[in-house]
Amino acid sequence: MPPNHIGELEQMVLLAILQSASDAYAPNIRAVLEERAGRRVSRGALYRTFDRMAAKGLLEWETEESNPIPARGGAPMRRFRATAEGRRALRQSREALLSLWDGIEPELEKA
Amino acid sequence: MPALPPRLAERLLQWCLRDSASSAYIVGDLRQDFASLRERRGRVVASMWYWREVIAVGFRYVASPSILTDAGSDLRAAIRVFRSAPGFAFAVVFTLALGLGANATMFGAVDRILLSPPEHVVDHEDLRFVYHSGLGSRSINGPLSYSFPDYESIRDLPVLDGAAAYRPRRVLTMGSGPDARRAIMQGATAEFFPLLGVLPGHGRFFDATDDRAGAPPVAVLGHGFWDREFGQNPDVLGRTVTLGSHTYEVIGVAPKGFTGAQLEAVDVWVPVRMNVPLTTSWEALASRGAWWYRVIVRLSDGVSDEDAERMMTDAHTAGVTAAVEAGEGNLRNGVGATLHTGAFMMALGPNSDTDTAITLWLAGVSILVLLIACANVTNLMLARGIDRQRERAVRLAFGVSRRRLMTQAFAEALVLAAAGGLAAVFVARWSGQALYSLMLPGIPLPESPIDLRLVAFITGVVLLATVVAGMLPAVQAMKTAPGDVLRRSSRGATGGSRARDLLTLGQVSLSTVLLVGAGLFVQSLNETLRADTGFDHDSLVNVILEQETVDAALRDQLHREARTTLRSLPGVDDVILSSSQRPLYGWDEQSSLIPSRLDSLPRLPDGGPFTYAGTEGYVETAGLRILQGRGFTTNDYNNDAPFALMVSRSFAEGAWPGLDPLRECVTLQRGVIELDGPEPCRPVVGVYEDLIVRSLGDEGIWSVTWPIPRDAPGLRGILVRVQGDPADYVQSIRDRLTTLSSEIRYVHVLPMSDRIDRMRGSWKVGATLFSVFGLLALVVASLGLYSVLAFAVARRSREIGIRSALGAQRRDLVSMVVARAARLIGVGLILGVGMAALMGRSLQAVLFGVPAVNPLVFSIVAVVLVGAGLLAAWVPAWKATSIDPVGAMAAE
Repeated sequence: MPPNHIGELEQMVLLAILQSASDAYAPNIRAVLEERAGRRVSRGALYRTFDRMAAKGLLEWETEESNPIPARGGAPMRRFRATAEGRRALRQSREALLSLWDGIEPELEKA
Repeated sequence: MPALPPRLAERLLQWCLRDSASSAYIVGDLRQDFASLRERRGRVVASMWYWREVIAVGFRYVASPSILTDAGSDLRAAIRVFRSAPGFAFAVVFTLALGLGANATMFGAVDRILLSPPEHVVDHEDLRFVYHSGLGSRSINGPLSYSFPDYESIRDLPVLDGAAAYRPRRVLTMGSGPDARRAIMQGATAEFFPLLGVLPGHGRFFDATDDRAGAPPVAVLGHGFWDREFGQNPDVLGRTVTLGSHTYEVIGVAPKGFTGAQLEAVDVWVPVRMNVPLTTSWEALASRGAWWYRVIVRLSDGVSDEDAERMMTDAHTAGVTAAVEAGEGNLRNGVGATLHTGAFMMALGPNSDTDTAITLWLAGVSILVLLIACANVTNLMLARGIDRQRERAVRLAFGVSRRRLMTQAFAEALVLAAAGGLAAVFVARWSGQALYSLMLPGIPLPESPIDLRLVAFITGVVLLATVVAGMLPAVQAMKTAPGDVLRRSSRGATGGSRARDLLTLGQVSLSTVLLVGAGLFVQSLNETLRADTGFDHDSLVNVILEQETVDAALRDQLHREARTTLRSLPGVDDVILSSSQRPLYGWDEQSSLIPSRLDSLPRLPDGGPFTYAGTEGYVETAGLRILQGRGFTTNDYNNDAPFALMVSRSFAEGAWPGLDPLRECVTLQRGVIELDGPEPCRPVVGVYEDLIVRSLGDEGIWSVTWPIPRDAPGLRGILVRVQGDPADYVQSIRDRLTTLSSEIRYVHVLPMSDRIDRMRGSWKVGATLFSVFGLLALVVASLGLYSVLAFAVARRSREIGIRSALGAQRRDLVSMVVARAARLIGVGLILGVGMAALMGRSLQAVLFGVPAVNPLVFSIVAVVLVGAGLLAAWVPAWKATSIDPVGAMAAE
C-alpha cells in the first residue's frame, strides 16, 4: 500500500480530528464520526486505526498527564493532531475523488 | 477516589494492550466512560458494559490481523456460532457457568477453611495449637482449652521458639440502653502478636509492660471495629474505648484482615495479665481450674512434633504435681494428661468437627458437579463435531487445508470455553457471597472471593473439557477420506454415539450420587428437628443480667427483683433463678461429685457429670422428664431442708448398675456449692431423662440437679417459660429489666430454641448445598440426555421417515426414543446407587439419625430421575412422531 493512500475510515478519522480542533480526544472523535458522518465505529476498531495511522505518520498525539478528570483514575489522556503528512494525504484523496466524480452526476440521476 | 471499573476486567484489558503504545490512554478513556455510565445506570449495568467493551477492544488487539490473519477470521467465524447454533452455544456456556462457577465458589470456601492460614500470620507451618487428652473432655471448652498456670509451665521450654496464650472470645457491651452494641474481645498475652509475626496497622501492639498486673488498661482495635466505631480516624491513638464497665486506652490498630489465630473477626485485643475484671480475673490467671485459654507455640528449628509433645507433657505434669504438693485445690485430673500439637489451622487439627467433615464432603460434591459439567460439555461438543462432519468433508473436497479445518474447530472450542469461563467467574462472584454467609457465618469475607489460582484452575479445566472434545471429531474427520464421509452421511451417520451414551451414563450416575446425598442430608436435618434434647426447650428463654459492678449481694437481689418483674409479664408461665448464667448449658464438675458406693467418678468420655441447680420450680420450668421417683417439693427448697438431689438416667445406670438409685446418695464437695459444715451424702429422690450438652447427638450424658434454697446466695442466671413463640418476648423482657435498676448495663435475652438451632447448623449447610448441587446436576444431566436423544432423532430422521411410511405407529416411534432413554437412566441409576452405597460408610459419620444405605432415599431419587428423564425424552420423542416421511427422504 503506497504511503500516500488512505482508506475511508482513515480519511474520516482525519477529518473528524480537524473538525474537533482543540478538542480532538478519542471520545469526541468517535462522537463526531457518529453525529456528522452517521458512522458507528467500534471502540476497538477506532483504537487500532489510531495506532495504524500513527505508524503511517498520518497523525500524532500529545499526552496530557495531569488532566483534571478524576474518573480516569490517574490514567493519561491524549489529544490528536493531523500531521503534515496526514493533511497532504487528505488533500490528495479529495482531489482523486473529485476528479473521479467529474461528470458522474447525470449518470447517477438516471439510476 | 473515583469509582474504577472491575479490576479483573481492567487487568485483562491491559494484558491485551500490552504491546500497544496507546494502552494507558485507552484504559483511561474506558474508565471515564465507565464512570459516567455508572452514574447514570448503576454499577451492575456499567460493569457488564465494561466487560463487553474490554472483550471487544482486547479482541481487536490480541487477534491482530497483521500477525494472525487466518486465526482472526477463524475466531470471528467461531464467534458466529452464537448466531448459527444458539441452542448449542447456550447449552455449553450454561453448563460451564454453573459447573465451574459452583466449583470455584466451593473452592474458595474450602480454601478459607482448610488451606489458608488466617491473614497476616508469618510462617504458619511452624505454629501449633496445643491440645490435651487423657482428661476426658474435662471442660466444655474441649481439648483445646487450657489454664493460665498450665500455659506458664510450658511457655519457656527450649524446644519452643515462642508461645502465646489467648482467651478466644468475650462478648462485651458498649454503651447502654437502646444504644448498646456488642463487641468481641480477645484477651492475649504480649507474646501473641510477635509469635504470629503480624505488624500493627497503626500505633503499636501491647508488650510486657502493658501485659502485667496493675498496668493501665490498653487495647488494640481490630480494623473492622476501627472502621465501624471511629471511621478509620488515625487520631484514635490515645483515645479511649469503654467496654463492659472498663475503659481502655487505644494504643494501636491491627492491620486490615487480621483476625488473630482464628478466622472469626475480633473487635478488640487486650492484654490478659492486665487483670481487669470482665477481661479476665486474677483467680482465672492463678487457677488451674479455669480452662479458658488457648495456647499456640512455634516449634524451634529441627524440633519434631513428638519431641515437643513429650517435653510439654513432662513440663505440664511437673507443674501440676508441684501445685498439688503446695496444696492447691483438687487437681486430680491435671496429672496424667498428655499434650499434643495440632496444625495451626484449626480445621486440620485433631479437634476438627462435623463442620469440617461436611465442608470436605461438599468439596468432593463440587468436584462431582465439575465432572458432570465436563461430561456434558464433551457430549455437546462431540455432537456438534459429528454434526459438522459432512460440512467438513465438503470443504475438504473443495481443497480447504486440513490444518485450516483443525484451527477452525479449535477456535470454536476456544470461544465457547472463554465465554463459559467468563460466565463462570460471574456465577462464582455472585454465589460466593451467599455461600460464605451460609457456610462461614461470622467469618469476614475476603476482599475478593476470586483469586488468581482460581482463575487459572477454571481456565485449565474449561480448556481441557471444551478443546479436547471440540477437536476429537475434527481429528476423526482428518483420518477419513471426504468421499467416505459424504457417502456415509447420506445414510445417516451415527458415529460417536457409544462415547456419547457413556458420557450420559456417567452424568446420570453421578447425579444419582448427588441426589442421594441431598436426600440423606435433608432427612438428617429433618431428624435433628425431632431430636430429643431431654428437656422442653421450645418455649424457654434464658436471661442474663450484665451488671455495672461485681457485687454478689446486689446481684442476688437484682435477680430476685427480676423474677418478680418477669412473673407479672403477660404470657409468662414461670420464672426461676439458677446458679449458672446459662442453666441447661451444663456446668462440668467432674472432680467434686462422689456417688455412694464409689470412691470417685469414672472418667467419662463425653465429660461431666454436668450439674444444674435452680430455685423452686426449676425441674418443671426446664421441662425435665422424670422417669423414676419424684421432683423437688416445696419442702426441698426450705433453707434448712436436707438437701435432696436428682440424677440423670445415665448417671443412675452408670454409677449404680442394677441397683435402685432412689436408695443411693451423692456427696457434693465444697466448691461445687457454698457450704459451711461437713459434706453430707445427699439422697437421690428422682431420676430424669438425659439432657444434651454440646450437640444434638449427645448420648449418655451424666448430670445431677439439686434445689437452690429460698434465701441462698449465688444467683447468676434466669430461666423463663413463656406461652407461644419465645422470640415475641425478647423485646418486652429486655425493656422490663433494663429499667429495673441503673445497675443493669445490658440484658441478654436468649431463646433456648436459638441455641438448639445453632446445633443444627452443619446439617442445614449440608442439606442446602447438597440439594443445590444435586438439582444442578440433575438439570445438567437432563440437558445431556435431551441432547443425545434429540441428536439421535435428527440423525435418524430418514430412517424414522421410512419406518412411518411403512406404517409404523406413533407408539413404536415413541418407544424407540424412550427405550434408549430408559436404558441410559436405568443403568445410570444402578451405577449411581451402587456408588452411593459404597460411600455410605464414610458418609455415615456426618449424618444424623439416618442410615446412609437408605432404601427410602434411593427410591425417591429413582422417581425424580425417571421423571426428569421422561421430560428430557418427551420433546425428541414428539419430534420423531412428527417427522414427515416424504420430507425426510427428500432432504437427503
